[in-house]
Amino acid sequence: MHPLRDAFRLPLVMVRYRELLSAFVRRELRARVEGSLLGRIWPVVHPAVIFGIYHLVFARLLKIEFQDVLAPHGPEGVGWRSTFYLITGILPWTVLAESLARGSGVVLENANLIKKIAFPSELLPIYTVVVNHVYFLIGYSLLLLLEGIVNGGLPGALVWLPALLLVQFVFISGLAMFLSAANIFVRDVAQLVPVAVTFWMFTTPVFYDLGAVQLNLEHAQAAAQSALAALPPGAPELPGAQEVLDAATDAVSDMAAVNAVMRWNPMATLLDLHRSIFTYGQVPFDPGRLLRLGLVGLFVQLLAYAFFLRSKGRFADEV
Amino acid sequence: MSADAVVVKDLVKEYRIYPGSFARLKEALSFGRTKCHTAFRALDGVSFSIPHGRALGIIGENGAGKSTLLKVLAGTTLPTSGSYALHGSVASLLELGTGFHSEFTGRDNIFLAAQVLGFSLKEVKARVDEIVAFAELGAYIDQPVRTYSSGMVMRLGFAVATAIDPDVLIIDEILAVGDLYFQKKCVDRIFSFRNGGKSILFCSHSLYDVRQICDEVIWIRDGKVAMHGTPADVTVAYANYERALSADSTRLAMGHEMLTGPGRPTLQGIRLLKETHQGLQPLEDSIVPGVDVVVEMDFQLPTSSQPVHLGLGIFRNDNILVISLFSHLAGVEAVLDRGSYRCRLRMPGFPLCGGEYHVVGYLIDETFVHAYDTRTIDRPLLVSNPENLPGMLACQHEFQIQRRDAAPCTSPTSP
Repeated sequence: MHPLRDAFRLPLVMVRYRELLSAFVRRELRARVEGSLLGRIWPVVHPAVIFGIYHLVFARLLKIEFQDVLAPHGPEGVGWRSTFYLITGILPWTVLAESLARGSGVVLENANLIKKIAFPSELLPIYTVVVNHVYFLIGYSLLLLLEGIVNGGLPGALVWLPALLLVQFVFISGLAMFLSAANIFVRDVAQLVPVAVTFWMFTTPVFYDLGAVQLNLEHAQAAAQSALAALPPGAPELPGAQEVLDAATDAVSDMAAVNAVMRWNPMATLLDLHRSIFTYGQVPFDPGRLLRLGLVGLFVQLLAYAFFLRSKGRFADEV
Repeated sequence: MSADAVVVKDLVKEYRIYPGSFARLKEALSFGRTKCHTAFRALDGVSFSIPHGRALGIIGENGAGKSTLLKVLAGTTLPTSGSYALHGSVASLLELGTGFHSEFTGRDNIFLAAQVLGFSLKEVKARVDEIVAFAELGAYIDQPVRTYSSGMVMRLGFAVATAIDPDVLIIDEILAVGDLYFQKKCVDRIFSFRNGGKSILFCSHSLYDVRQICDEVIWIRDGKVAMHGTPADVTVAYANYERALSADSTRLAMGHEMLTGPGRPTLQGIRLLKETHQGLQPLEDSIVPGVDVVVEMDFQLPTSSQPVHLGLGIFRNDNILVISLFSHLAGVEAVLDRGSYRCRLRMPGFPLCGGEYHVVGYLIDETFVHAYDTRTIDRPLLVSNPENLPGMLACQHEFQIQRRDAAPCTSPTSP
């Protein structure tokens, strides 16, 4: 077996076992609501309530208007900018957070199957990611409904959504697959994931206004620079001059750090791409960025699947 | 297609035992430079093959490696070295009810469990009625599995797992499932697989089931094939081994006080013979029940003052006294005069079934309380069990069957 070569076969495995995969997905979808009164309505009620809460808190109570260039600019979008910014961030972020939280433990949870039945265990992390995409699509439909109501139409950049979802699926399922296998050998993985995801969330503009952050930093930088310019020649000897210089240097390096994080954080890129769809061309959808993110996702997916294939023979001995 | 359905060659399975998760991490991070585990060989060079349409039984103690062997063959774990090949489709019943979700109904679970086992959706749909009928759960089939008793889960599990029509069926200790009625259905289904020309690997602690179902048996001991042969031979040898293990000591005694000191009668030799048309001949190491056995004992009386009776004890190898015979009870006078004697004790139609037995001779005094001397035949007597009888004794018997009701009339009775 050549794990790295076989890692390219994931689509084939998924097609070949599509019935089993869909059986797993349907079981999971049903298991979450089985026995509850509202049953299958829950996956719709849940995001609708969440959207309502965010709109109420941010737009109505706090009256915060997000500054970010990616905050939606629909014709009638004023008053809804914060809400759409948050929803377009929360939906993909939830896919990541839930997929990693559930996915990292899914192989271990199915120890019984792993030990007793020879079946393609890579379907386990895959199906958790698929399930979360089903919830994503339900939430996204609500988002589109809301967009239609508020703005009276849908953005044309929606044609990019299928490609964007493919990239999102490849990237997130790669991470989930790696974690699900790693957790078999080091059980701390499933414990670490929620911590790491929380940290990751704060380095990704999900719940905060990246535009406001950047604006603040720009102000600080400008203030420091103008203070610097106001210094008379020979200033370094003057009292307080060193502090002004330090503040200017800090502001520049903070700005560079924030930009670097946004540039190298795949989730920030993913959220940017999602949000740019709803700016109605003010920030055009960037296919080049999508392609780069896709390559990163493919790379992660291949390495993760190769690792999974290399270690799956030992699963039954370790669980 | 090859002649054998299953070929296993030099199979080795090693488990790594780590003292803790830290040691595991340390070893993983060192990329093979540090070794923190101890290896445990669950399988140590197992080889065998099963021809098409034959059933192979696997017996052995707990922890001998049976389940590991089945897991490797079922494909859930990889062997450390060695190779195996299974020709045709394989179904493994390592555990019943795997893949069931307790919130879903029995019918829903049939679909998922069968698909995990490798059925296509079409196949499940085609067979779901058959599975429901076999499980005999009545209206419960549409209730959540969490409301089932453990026996009902097992029934459903067995029905699902055997609905597939495999070329090779791997079964691990599952006949102890459900009530006797369902056990019979399971055995019937396994028999129908066997008669349908399927190959079966059957692992069980029930030597009776193994003898009934299998054509060949292997006995796994400490990860190795200790014996491979006919069900009769292997199960008897295994039962002997088990009993010898459970025997608390090697003391074979009937309760006589041993007399010691010089000048007492001695038992000089004891041997087993058999009666044939050509006269007496030495007995083979292994016999079948029903042969005519003769025990020959040579003894000597140094003085004429010690009357001697003879005794014989046959002990199974777990030290259970199975047969005791005494000359005084047979109405034979005690031997009184000094001299050398030979006693022949005839046992026509040796009654013991398969097992390993120790034969012990005794010289007993006139009070029947003390023994002057005792001698055990060096080699245990092995009795085989060609008829696969589960009991201990094969007694003389005759079956007679008669009708108790009136014989059925073929012509109508006139009024």
